[in-house]
Amino acid sequence: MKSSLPLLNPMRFLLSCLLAVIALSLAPGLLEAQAPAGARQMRHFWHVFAAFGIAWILVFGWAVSIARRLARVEEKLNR
Amino acid sequence: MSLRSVRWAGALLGFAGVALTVLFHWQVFFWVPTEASMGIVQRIFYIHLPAAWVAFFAFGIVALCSAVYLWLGEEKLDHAARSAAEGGMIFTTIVLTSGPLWARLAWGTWWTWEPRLTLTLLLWFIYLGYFLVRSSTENRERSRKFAAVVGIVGALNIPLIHMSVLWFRSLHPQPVVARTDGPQLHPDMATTVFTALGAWTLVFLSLFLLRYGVARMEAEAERLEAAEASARPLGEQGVVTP
Amino acid sequence: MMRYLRQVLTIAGKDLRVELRTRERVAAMGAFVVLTAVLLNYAVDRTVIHPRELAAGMIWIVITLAGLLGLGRTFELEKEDGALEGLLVAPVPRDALYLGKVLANAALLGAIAALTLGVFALFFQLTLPRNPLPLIGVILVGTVGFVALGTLFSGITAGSRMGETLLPILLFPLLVPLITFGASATASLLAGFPPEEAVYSLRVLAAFTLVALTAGVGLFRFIVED
Repeated sequence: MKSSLPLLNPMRFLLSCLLAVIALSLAPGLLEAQAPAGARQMRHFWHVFAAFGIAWILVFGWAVSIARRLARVEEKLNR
Repeated sequence: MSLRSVRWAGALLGFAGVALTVLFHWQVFFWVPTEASMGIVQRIFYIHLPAAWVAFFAFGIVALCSAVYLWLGEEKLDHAARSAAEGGMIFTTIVLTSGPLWARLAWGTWWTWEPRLTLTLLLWFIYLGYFLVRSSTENRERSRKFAAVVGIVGALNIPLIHMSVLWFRSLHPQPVVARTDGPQLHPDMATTVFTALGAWTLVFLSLFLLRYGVARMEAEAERLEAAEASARPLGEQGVVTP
Repeated sequence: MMRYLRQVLTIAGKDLRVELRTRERVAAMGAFVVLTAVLLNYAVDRTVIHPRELAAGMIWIVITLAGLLGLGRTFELEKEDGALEGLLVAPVPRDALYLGKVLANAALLGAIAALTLGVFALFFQLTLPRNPLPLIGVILVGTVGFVALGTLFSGITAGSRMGETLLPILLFPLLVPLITFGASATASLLAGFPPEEAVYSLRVLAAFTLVALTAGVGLFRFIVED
């Protein structure tokens, strides 16, 4: 199954892109969060980050699980 | 669709999805104005609503593929239904985690019997049942049919469940909330929501297609394994998982 | 058409005859209902709320749970001694088999529902409406809807490793319309409001039952096929 190569690379690329997105989305927000005083504001930020973070962990986890299954089945097929 | 084109479609949609996702994160965190009455926490809305849309969209795919699977008996359709159900489970979970995080600050409570949130919770359990039926039935053919039936019956009932949760809410008034998803939505907010909708939909479709491709390869590997096992002389045959 | 009806009745008759001879399911479900009502009495603080005010909802919860107890065993007997194969070999369409099972289960659960209503009326001093027909109608329609879904799903759980433990997970999310509208109609009738107030709820219940029956008739053959 040579045809698996074209997928695996885009797949990896996709995963790294997702990682970059997470980093991008978290970093500026954290910096911004320092600025406004008041615990209420802070709490809002935490909730937003938690929601976005959980969302990304879940989607990313799904992507990783697909990649792992793909690797496993390819190994099986190559045998 | 051939396996190759499925993967390429998945990868292409994935690139588009990631691009849109970057754009929508920029919009959410730098560009869109903060909603006046709810404050920053309202930004959760931009993942909450699109995730809900994807969750129901995925369930539509599950029901449709299940119905056609039962009709035609084409195994590929079952792979598609299962792949969509996996995505649906992921996105319902996103809705169910982001909803309370928002509700806590906006309405002062983690959980409300808000109709759509309730419906999503029930959808989550329907998905759970779908997977439990799959995993607890040994015979492959039967587990597929069982799961398809569960998917179809669930989809048939969703309109009625939706009606019930809406009606129940009308009986029990909830804290009055300035809904942001009315027609008075700020144009920039609307743009952000639409970007997010597009981004999540593309990401879902991409992962769905990739997962579907893997499912087909797994089935192929299983077939090869079984053929190999039966080709061997009888004395050498090991235990073959059905 | 007549033949089909006769087949349905034969299947239902067979199941009911088995039940009448053993009386296992009836006994278990009946005892369950009475005992749950007793427990409910002790679960409620009467200085805060009278059980009567919870009765309409509790009746439906109890019917659902008792039904679950009985439905799980719909295919148990047939599974144990390979009688299902015999039934499937019989020259009966699968949907007639399904409808027969639904009919038998509905008769059984209908009796249990009547018992539930009676026990609750007795224990918690409910005033039953002067004209009991609307109430009977609501309970009957709801029971048939519940049984229609439950029989279909118990066919699934009978074939799975988890067995009956899977049944509530599959069934409960879909019962929300039944509980919502069943309880609301029952509450309004028990409170003595005119039956017209319950018409809307009854209509939704009927829609639920219709959807469940249609799905069952259409899909049952995929569950028993081998």
